[in-house]
Amino acid sequence: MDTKAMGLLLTIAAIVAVASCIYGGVESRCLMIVSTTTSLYQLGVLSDLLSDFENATGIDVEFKVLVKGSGEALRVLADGSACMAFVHAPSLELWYVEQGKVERLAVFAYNEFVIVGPSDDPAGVRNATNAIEAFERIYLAGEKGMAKFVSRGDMSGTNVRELQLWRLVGLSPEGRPWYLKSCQGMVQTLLMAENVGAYSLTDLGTYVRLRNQGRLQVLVELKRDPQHLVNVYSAYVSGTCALNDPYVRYVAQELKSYLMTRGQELLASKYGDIIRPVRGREDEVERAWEVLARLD
Amino acid sequence: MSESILSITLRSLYISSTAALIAFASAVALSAFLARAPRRRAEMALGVFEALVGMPTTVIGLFVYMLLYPQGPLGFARLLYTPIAIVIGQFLVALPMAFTSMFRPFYELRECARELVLSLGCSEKHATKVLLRELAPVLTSSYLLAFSRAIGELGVALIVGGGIEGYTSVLTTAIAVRTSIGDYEVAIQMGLILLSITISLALILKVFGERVLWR
Repeated sequence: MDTKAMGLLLTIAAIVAVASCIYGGVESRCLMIVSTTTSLYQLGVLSDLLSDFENATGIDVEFKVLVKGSGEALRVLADGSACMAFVHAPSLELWYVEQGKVERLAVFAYNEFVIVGPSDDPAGVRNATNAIEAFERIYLAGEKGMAKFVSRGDMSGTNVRELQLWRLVGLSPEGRPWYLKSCQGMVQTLLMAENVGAYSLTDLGTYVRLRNQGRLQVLVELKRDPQHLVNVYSAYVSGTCALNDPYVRYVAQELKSYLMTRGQELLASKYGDIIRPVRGREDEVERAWEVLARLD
Repeated sequence: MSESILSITLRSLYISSTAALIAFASAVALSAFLARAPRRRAEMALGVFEALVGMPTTVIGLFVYMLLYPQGPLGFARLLYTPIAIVIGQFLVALPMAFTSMFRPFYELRECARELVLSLGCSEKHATKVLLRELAPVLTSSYLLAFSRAIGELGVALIVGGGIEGYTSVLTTAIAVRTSIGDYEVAIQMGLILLSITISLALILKVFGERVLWR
């Protein structure tokens, strides 16, 4: 290995660098970056909707999907790094909307959160009349050392909702020894709850999927509460993206009308209980969104 | 819904070897430059880079994000969420590793061995040749370290690459996403692939080095 070889090496490095610049530049021409919450990606809902949208409208656009928690998905949307987002965290959504950084396209689907916990249910969540009382029972049992709770702790839609519920109860679990934060996705959080025999709040889809895979032996569904535990999915377009690029605005409008028509049928036929279309209950779900967004 | 492991692996290899190569070349240039500097100044520079070796890749990822996002200083280039964004980030991740692992031998060699070689009657040109051959094993190790740090990092690839399937998804982001949706089996499979890539590359380079470069 002499100086010549070294020179050759450097030249190769330079060529590769330039080549990858060109490669990267060409590929990034007309992308539509879409950020999404993990649950929609994992259930396959988003890829179904987007590919059906392309087939139905014939619009030539390449969607690139970023899988993030709702908090991060909204942040990259507000930055204009992503053009559209599919999220489920109404209070965060409202915050970005009020700042004028994102615009809502549609509230297009909903499902339920459920409270899950060990089947012997030491806190007596099964007997609670609603979700708020259930959380209160978990808190009291936790203080007595009889129960644990695993929180996402990552500002995802589920985490935001859980924090709202604690505020409604009027008790703060922050820093209590029985209150564990996984700071990870829903699946890891559920597995952690399973392993330590703790309670947790989860979206129905993830829980059902995990249970059907046979990964949950101890954890069972303990409490549903359609009033307090409704989970609303919305689509957003980035303000800066739509302002600077009329094509993005056009695609966004098309996507909006697709989501509320053909997309609704797709959801109804394929996902049923796990992700429900809003059709026929638009006003009801919209009101639920309003309530959730202003709960704080 | 998911792209084949092979194509993710190839993309990973392509992105990380490019990043490691650029980092390696820059480290060589930097070392050559600093080897002429007074000892004190060189040590200071080395210290700074040594501290940077352990920098969390997520922080580097955020830093590159700030550079590349649409309102950022380099936003006009539209590089965010492209493979080139990952190359830039991984270059920054790998550079301190490459530099710190090669600089001291570089410096020592220039200080001590060069005089020895010259005093034994070598010409200037020949001396450079001899020194480079002495350095070859160090340089190989240093490239390996840079590559392994680049291909194994997650923070940058996740933040500025986004792990977009079929475009910027690399092994580490695919592992993270698979883990987050509970596909532990596929995740661990990809982890093993990652491990075997770095180990086999190390073996290949070492054997190749022993046979060819510094026989």
